[in-house]
This record gives sequence, C-alpha cells and structure tokens, in this order.
Amino acid sequence: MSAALEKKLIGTLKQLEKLESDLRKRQMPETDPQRVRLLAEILKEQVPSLLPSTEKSR
Amino acid sequence: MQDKHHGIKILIVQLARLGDIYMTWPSIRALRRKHPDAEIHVLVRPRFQDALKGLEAIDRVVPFPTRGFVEPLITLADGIPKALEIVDQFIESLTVECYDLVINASFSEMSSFLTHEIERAGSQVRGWTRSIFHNNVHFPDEISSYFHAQVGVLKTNRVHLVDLFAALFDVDLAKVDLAPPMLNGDKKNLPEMAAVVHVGASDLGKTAPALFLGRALKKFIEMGWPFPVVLIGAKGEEFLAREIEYHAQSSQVQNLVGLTPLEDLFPLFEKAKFLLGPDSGPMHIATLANLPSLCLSAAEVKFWETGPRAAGSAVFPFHPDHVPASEDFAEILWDFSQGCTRGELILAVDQVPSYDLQETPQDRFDWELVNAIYFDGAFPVCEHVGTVLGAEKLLELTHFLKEQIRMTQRTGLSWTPDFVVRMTTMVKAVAEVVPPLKGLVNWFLTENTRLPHSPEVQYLQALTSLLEAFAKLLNIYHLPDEMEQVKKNG
Repeated sequence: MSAALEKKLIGTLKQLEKLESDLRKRQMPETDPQRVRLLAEILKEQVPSLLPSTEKSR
Repeated sequence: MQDKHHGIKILIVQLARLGDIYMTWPSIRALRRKHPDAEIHVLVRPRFQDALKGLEAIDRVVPFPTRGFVEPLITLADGIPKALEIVDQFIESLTVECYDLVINASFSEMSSFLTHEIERAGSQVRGWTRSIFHNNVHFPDEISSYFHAQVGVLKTNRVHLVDLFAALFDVDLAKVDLAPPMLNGDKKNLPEMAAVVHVGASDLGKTAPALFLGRALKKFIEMGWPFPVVLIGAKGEEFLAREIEYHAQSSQVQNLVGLTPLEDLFPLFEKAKFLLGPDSGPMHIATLANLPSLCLSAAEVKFWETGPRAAGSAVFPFHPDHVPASEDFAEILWDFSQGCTRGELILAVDQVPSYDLQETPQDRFDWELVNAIYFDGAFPVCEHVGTVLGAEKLLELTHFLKEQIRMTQRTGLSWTPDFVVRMTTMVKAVAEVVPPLKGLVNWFLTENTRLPHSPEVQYLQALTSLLEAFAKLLNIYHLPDEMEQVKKNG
C-alpha cells in the first residue's frame, strides 16, 4: 500500500469515527452507527499500521 | 425452509487466513455430524475461499467482499455513503437467511461487530460479538471468554487451536474429522514418496532463509534420499523456490511452487513421505492428510497452539537470523525422514506438540495456573515472595471494592462505576509488576466485562460474586504465616 493511499484511508477512518460519534448523539434513524463502526473496522484491517498487535499475531 | 434441509441454519464466520480455515475443518465436520440436517454456510474472505474446497460438510461458501466495501473509499472523493450502502446490502443478504446459529470463529474486533449485526436479527451466537454501545467485546460462551483472556501475544494458552475451535463449536472431535477430503481427480502425474518442502510462510519473519534450506536439501539428497524433493508454495514465493533450487543443485528437486492449487496438495500429500515447512496453511493440510510433518517454527510462533498434529510430526524451533548450519539440519532432516528423532526436535505428544524443550519454571507456573482456573488442574506451588505479595495487594483491592458495594447497598446511594474503572487499572498495574499473576488477572478482567450492567442491583450482586471468586483464587497464594516469617528473617 502506498503512503498516499494509507494517508487517505486514515483520513477516511477519522471521518467515519466522527460520523459514528455524531450519529450516536443525534440518533438519526437513516444511518445506523453500528454499520458505520463496522465499515471503520473493515477499513482498519486494510491499513497495516492500524491493525492492533494482537490481530497481527494471528 | 430449504428444500433439502429440515434442520437448523448455521453460519460460520471464519475471516482469518488459510491456516485457521484448515484448523476449522474438523469442527465443521463434527458440527455436521451433530446436526446432519442442518444447512451450513461459511463466511470467508474471497482470497482464502479455496481453502474450503473439498470440505464436504458445508452447503455454501459466502464470500466476504472486503474489496467491494473499501473500493468506494479509495476511488471516490467522498466514498463513505456508497461504502455504507454496500455494507447495508451485505448485512441484508445475511439477515435474510435467518440463521438460527452464528459461530464467529474469527476472534477479531471487526468480526465481532459483524456478528452483532446478524445477532440483532435474532440469531443465537457463539464467539465474539460487539455492539457500539458496549465498551468491550461480548463473550456469550466460556471459550470466547477464555480466548480473550488467555490466547494471543504474551498470553499463556497451550490448548491447540483445533481443540479451541471444537470447544467454540460445542462439538466432540472424532478421528474421521481429521481426515483428507474425498476428491476426484487424476493423481497419476504426482510424484510418489516425495519429501515435500513448503518454501514460504505468511510473512518473511516466519520463513526459513532460502540459502539455508537449499544447502540443507543438497546435503540431505547427498546422504542418500532416493525420492523426489518437491517444492510447493504460492505464486509469490517463486523467487524463494528458484533460490532453493539453485543451492540444492539436484535434479531430484521438482519445483511446483505456484503450480499446485490448494486442493491438489491433498493427493500430493497422500503419496508423500513427509512435509517440511513453516507453521502455515500446507502444514494444516498435512494434519488433515495425516502426513508426518517437520515444522520449522520461527521463534515468535506459538507452535503448541498451531503446530502439526499428524502422527510422527515434530517441531524444529529456529530464529531466521540465527539458523543452524545447513549440514547439521540436513542430518536432523535425514533422521526425521527415517522415523528417528533427535534431541533438537520437539515431538508431538498425544497429537499435540509438547513444550518440554523451551519450558522454564515460570512458563510451567503460568500454564498450570491457567489450567487450574479453567480446566480443573491442580494449582501450582508458588515459590516467589513477589507473587505472594502481589496476591496480598490484589486481595486488599478486592476487599476495598466489596466494602464500597456494601456501603452503597446499605446507604441506598447510587453506585459510582468509577470505583471499578480505578480498581481494574490498579489490578492491571499489579499484574505488570507481578507477571506470574497475569493469567489470574486476565481471567478476572475478562469475567468483569461479562457482568450484566443493568439493573444496578443485579450488576452489584454479580460483581460481588465475581470479587468473591477472585478472592478465593487469590487466597491460594495469600500465605500470611509464611510472609510473617519472611519479614522476620528480613
């Protein structure tokens, strides 16, 4: 993965975290914060530097 | 209800890599035996779905489309709405199946959020699951809790993953579960009696250097090995194979790297004499094919969790930066090929690699403590004053928290969750200073996350029971008379 792509994905991850937090506060029915979090977790698995060390080991 | 099935519908979530998928095979077969009429689906990453080819116990492979989820995030300026739409569609496609049971065999954060999505639709769950409204992963069964507390980096587990999966699936394994699949195909052109060598591993840190392997194979052949030496591996490992071939300098070496689909390894292994390779996918295929394997286990790999299980297998621990002389290893390999083993090898005992060679007294204490907490083993005798002092400190913390609960109940004041947060921080700190108590502390911290958090009355009762159980275990290592004597003696 290129450094530029990794940077873009880390930026997207921050956006997703903010979106999840906003959704939890505002309780907007159209978007489910659990799904936003799931997408964030999927994305984390694609960025090696974001993987927790415990998952790298398995 | 499906046409041919009249039993329950089960989804197995296995989003790990090849090795874990093959180690799940025995449990899936046992699950099929337990539920002969069930419809069994397995969710896997498309990259690894070939590892399910030949597994007759399943009805459907469901690909987990990682690329589809992530692609809009890469290609579009604001890809989040599109990616969320794809996530929604995928979850819909799973929930519409109305699974009766979901078994999450992945043990990852992401898989726990995914499993919760299916759980929300009413499925019963085994394995990790997690809602965003909980601070921690939820462990619906004992084995999920054990895995969280005791398996992984710097943890003490010694139970093989094949057995952990069986416990997670709630099945008893039989000999037929550890067997190769019934595959039809032409086996005529496969080499016979071969020494098969898997040249790569999931990462370079687990891979034996090509120069070392090539020279060892050269000497091994010169010692009189009369059959082919077959190199296997993935396409990306071709460069390693070429280097090994170059150093081995023998026409007996057949390079099949990049040419053998995973399912072809079963017939190859059926005809082979043994496998040499790292703790990786082919090693687990060899377990199913009952092919004796010599596992080249890199230092950080816990071979007792994932090592070969076929009869006659052994483990050779090595560090990629400090490999032994190729000639010495060739002799070890020769003896192994003749069914003899040498002191340098760790032997498989009762089909699970033993751990004798590298065990220190501390290792033994750590494992015996975990074994006592979870599996009714005897509690190990403690010979370190530090451990006794650590247990004493933890007991004080436990008594303090119990006292706070009692006061809350007596006065009717509302409970302050901060007490538990601070207590767990201090408990972790004690475990850092006194590592022998780590297994016990990990048990307590994990069980603490399993307590019902409402209503408050119920939570405080459950917390009190957990603290009492913790204190009971700590009391085993609380030896006031002995400590008094130590203090007297300075």
